[in-house]
Amino acid sequence: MKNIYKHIFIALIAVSFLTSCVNDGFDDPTFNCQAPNLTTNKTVADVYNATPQTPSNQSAAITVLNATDDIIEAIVTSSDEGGNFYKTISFMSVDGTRGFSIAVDSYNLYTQDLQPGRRVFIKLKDLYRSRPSGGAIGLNFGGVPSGSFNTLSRLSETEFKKFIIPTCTVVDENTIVKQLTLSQLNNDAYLNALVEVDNVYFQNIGVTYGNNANTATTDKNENITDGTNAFITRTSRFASFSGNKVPFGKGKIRAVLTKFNGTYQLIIRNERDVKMNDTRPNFFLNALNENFESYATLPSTISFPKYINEAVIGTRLWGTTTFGGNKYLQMTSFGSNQANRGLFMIPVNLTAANTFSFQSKAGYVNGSVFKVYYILEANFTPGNPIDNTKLVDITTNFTLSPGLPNGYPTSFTNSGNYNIPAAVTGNGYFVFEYIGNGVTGGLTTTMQIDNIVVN
Amino acid sequence: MKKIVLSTLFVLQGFFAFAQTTGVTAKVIDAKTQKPLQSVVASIENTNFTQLTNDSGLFSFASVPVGLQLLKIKSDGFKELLLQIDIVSGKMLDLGLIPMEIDQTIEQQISLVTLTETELSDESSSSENTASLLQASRDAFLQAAAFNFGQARFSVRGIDNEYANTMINGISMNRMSDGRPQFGVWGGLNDATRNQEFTNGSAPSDYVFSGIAGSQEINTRASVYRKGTRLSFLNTNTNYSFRMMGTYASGMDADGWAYTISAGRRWAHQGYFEGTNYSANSLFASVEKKINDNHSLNFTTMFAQNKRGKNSPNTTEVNNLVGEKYNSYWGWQEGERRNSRFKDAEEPLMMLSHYWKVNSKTQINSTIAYQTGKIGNSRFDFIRSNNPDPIYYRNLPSYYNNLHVYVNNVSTFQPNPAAAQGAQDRFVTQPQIDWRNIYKINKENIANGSRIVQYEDRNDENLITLNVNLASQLSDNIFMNAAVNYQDSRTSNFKNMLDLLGGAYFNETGTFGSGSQNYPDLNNPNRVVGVGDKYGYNYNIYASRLDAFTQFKFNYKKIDFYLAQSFSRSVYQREGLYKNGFWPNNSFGNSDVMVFDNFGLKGGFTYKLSGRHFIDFNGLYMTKAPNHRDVFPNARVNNAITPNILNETIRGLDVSYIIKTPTFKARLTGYFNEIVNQTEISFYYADEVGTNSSADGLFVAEMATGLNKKNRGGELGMEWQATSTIKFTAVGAYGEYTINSNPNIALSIDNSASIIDYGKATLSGYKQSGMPQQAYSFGFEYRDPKFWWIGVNANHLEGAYVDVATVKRTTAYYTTNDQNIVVDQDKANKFLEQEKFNPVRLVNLVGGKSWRISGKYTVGLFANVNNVFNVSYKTGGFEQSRNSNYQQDSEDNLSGGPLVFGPKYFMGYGRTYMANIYLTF
Repeated sequence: MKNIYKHIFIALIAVSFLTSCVNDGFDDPTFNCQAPNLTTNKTVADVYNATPQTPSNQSAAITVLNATDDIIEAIVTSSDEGGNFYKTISFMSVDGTRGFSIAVDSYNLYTQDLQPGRRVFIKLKDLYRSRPSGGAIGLNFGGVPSGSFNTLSRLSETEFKKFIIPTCTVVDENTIVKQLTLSQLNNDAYLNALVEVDNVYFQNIGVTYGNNANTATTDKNENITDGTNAFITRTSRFASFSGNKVPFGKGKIRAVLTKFNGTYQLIIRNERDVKMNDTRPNFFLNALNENFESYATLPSTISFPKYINEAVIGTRLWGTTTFGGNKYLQMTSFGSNQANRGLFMIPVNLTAANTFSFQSKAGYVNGSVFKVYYILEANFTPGNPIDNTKLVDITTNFTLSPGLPNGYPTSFTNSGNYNIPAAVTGNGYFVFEYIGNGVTGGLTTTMQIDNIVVN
Repeated sequence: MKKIVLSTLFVLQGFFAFAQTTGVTAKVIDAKTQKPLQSVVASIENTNFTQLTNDSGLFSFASVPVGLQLLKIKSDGFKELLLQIDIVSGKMLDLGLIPMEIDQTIEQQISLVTLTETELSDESSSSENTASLLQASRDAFLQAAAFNFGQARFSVRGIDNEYANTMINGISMNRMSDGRPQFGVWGGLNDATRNQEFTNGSAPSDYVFSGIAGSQEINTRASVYRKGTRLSFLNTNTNYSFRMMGTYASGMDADGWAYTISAGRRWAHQGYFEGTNYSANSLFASVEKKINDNHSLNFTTMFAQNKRGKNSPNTTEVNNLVGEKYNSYWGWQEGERRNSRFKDAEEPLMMLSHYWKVNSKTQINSTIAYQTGKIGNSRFDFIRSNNPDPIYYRNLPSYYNNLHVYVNNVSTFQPNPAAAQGAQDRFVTQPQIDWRNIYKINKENIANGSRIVQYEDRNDENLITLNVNLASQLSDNIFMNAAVNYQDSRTSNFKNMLDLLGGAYFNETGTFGSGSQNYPDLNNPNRVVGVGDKYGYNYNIYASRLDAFTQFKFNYKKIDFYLAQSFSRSVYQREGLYKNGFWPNNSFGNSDVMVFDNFGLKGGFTYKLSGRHFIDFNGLYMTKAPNHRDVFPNARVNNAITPNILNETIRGLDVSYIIKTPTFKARLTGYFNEIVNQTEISFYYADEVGTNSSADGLFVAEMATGLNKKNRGGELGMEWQATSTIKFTAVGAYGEYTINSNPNIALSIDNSASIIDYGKATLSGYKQSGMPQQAYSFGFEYRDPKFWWIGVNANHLEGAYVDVATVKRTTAYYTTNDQNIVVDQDKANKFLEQEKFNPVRLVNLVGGKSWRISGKYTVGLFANVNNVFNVSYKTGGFEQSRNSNYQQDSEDNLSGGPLVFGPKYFMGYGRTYMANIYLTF
């Protein structure tokens, strides 16, 4: 047995000899940027002024081929990190007076020394430029014009680096951003500039920035507002944040200003450009009398400026519909072929308001699908998942339409007044919940709501 | 010395005869040390006479039938002897001293740098290596297959090694996920795992109901190791550069203790292919305590750590530009070669065995084993940045030479020679990964997290196996084996962050989906991932299997035959730990429990035409559960079960004619094997699939079900000992390995969260890929009595084919976005023709010498040179599924130059060498 210990000892010694001969750790690389040895001979304003504005009655843009060895300098304002900019880069002159864009046939440019704040030289020789009357407005550079609009072609992946020469300087974008109001944005001088507007919020709540690229073929506009003016933010369906919901609060939005045909629009580069953490103004209602007559029913309205409408399970939502000249809110799982849970939430100042009532009508009843709750503001932030344990069930305080197994009752049933308890104060939401299932055998009762009154 | 060898090896003269009994006796010694050899197996062929030599090396058989008999003497590590003896009635034949020589085949086996250690592709699952079990067999054919054809990925009968049963002490070592042997568990422990028993084809094994690809049983019982120490040092230029190994076996001491320990290290800064570093440590210990004559306990533990850089399969274009040793996975980082893809495995194994000799005729061995550890395969993850792979298709000249641009919705050929030249210049001057640029990008993106990171796909398995094996001699002629084997496995699978490459964190939110689809885990959206964090996917697979088999062997004078039957039940379940955004409803929680019951039946006989001529037949019918990898096709993201998944049905038979004489041995075999209802899952990036027909590079899982394979052919092995020193071998394998069904294809596409049925793929008639189907070898060996030897082998291999892209053989191939494309069927047929690789001729040299020093030490040298003429050849390859329709193929072929999405190939080694020096005492 002694031998065993001896040999185990030998084995341990052997193991300790088996130390790594193969490298496993690596030093971080060092960087040394080679500054390009170039100097400018023109300003962006010079080139802008030397590019004729295509007359508005002429669709084919006037294009100019730059034949001389001109060099300008500019700062990148756009970023294709979020996918909202695609194969185009926006720039602002170093003095901040004039912006422009260049079309290139490449992507992930922000990882190729063309991130926001990067100072670049642009060699103009052999580049075309124009100031079109339609499409994307403003000074732009590119390759050989083509098509009936004389659109400048994208510079190929291998060519664009011969024209756009990054320097080693990246300026903090906070030093180039222009602080403007919504009304100030309507100005060609700021095209392709990085701009920021404060004290604004999205008009619609619970909506996504863009459309779903798998189902939609168009991009989407969502308005921001300062309470008076509205302004378009446009988001590509291919943007990485396209399917994310716009924030609920109020605050700052940073974007690149562009103009398509006659319409100015803000192009958000990524979600970090949107910082809306302040409370949305005038959101929680002291009083309400909603009869849904102001909403379109064809197609059914599913996004409401004043209310939150969410599909927690499945894709069905509460939506407006009409019958016999009366408009109301409806939800059903009938024909959905899926499980559904839809929440319709009414923001209310629970301290100021005293009573809550509505009318209901149930059709094709095959079970109970409807409940009413309230939830306090502190327990729910719009855009985030709802914490079901914080919902307070007040269904039994209301008289609900018993409905009919086939067809609908002729009239809505008054719920009766719910007196908001004195102990319930602050802001909160009344919540209509629909739970059904469109798969054969599931609950598909149709629920209709009208004349919501808060006093 | 020479005299002893000459006088004893084949012609035994000068024996003495004793009166009284009819029989034979002799003393077996080590030719080198001249010491008696204990526990050598002596047997008279075709009889039940079997004995172990005693501690004086003596054996003795009495009452042996009169006449010419063949005496076989064999012992682990020594060359087997087959001696013709003439038994005379009433006389005890004394053969005197029988010296046994060290078997060079074993040395060769121990020194073989197996290709199984490279496990080629993770690009395409079906072109993973299918290397057969490497057999230190005496069979000339199997030796050639291992030592000469192996380098060209020859596989015996073309059967994937998932159909071979590998065991250690009866415990199954086939991985439950894919059925393949876990060679890595005992990698680098060649000394410690040298006690092996093989069976070929479906021939009976005492330990398992073996299928059509044979079995391998490794015995690590401490007392079976020959006492002594062995140290070796090996140098080669293949997978690794150096190997050190040391092993000590104590032999059984007076108290009933025996132990064996072994340690090894293998390493390389760069293996044969560029950038393939290698670092592996292996430890082994086995301790046995003999409690009494009937009971012994043995504890074995193995621990093999292996970390190695991988090498990329390349297209012809890439090989032509930067050479066949080129590997796109590595790049320089501050003066060091850094490989982005490595495999990091350590799966220690512990076993406790109980050996119970119930009586003189019955033995029950039980083993319980526990295995744990991790396997990690690293690679890049990148988000909204260009693919850092230097051979990404947009980085190569072929992309610009074949460039098509949509002009007025018509795909128009617009090659850009200037850009192609630019891409070529850039690639040739900087063909490796640009680590500096990766760090730069990440450091510029601190606000949004690293854009490019290195992670590993982890498969951490915890496995408990219990095995009880019974062997009993029921009567003089009837032997029975029975075993029960139960495995219980839990594999934890996840992405593990390895290196943020200069950044501060990584946001795992995807970019291909819409909204919440981009969250790999809806229960934890917008997570920030740091080094060592799990992310991306996270699930467990629970698998258990109960196997039972019985086998009866009947041995008679003219015929031996056997019958075996098996039953198994496999139970699989997936547990999703993430709620995947694409599959919110079937990703989190438990999947259905899948149960597969299977049975098998096999039998065969050996008919002894005479003591030297045999006819051998084996037949098998069995069903086999699909591997769980194939049951949960998209296990990373959901609980889906492969539609229509069924058990496989396997049929096989072989017939051999065998000649065994002292100077000439031959085997001629014809075989037929069929596997019906196979399921194959592969993953790749595809263009224009599913509902989003304009999207490029979507990640899909391809499920092929109802795949049938047929393998038939013949094997011939001949070995002629022309003189006592000269041996010739001739070996031929002619196989036809085909696919003979049209499997059903379905693609599971992440970003539309759908499974799309592609119907049948017309694969019937295509060849199975991954190995040469025909191989021929001629060998010459000279073995000098002064303990040196040299051999040369000339080999010809052909009939290797590329692995075809299944999805291209569906009708979807002819569907394109561009309505202007008119399909030219002749061209389409040409695009879909399966590439046959060129035949290859390889010449290998092998030799060795050993010396005895001061009576106690033996020093040996073993060396070989493979592929002496440095022939370049493809060992395997696969069509890329990315370019999966006629339009893309047609456009890709328009320039006549290299294809953008041409097949990727694995290249064979050029001229390589290996030299191993060992010392035993």
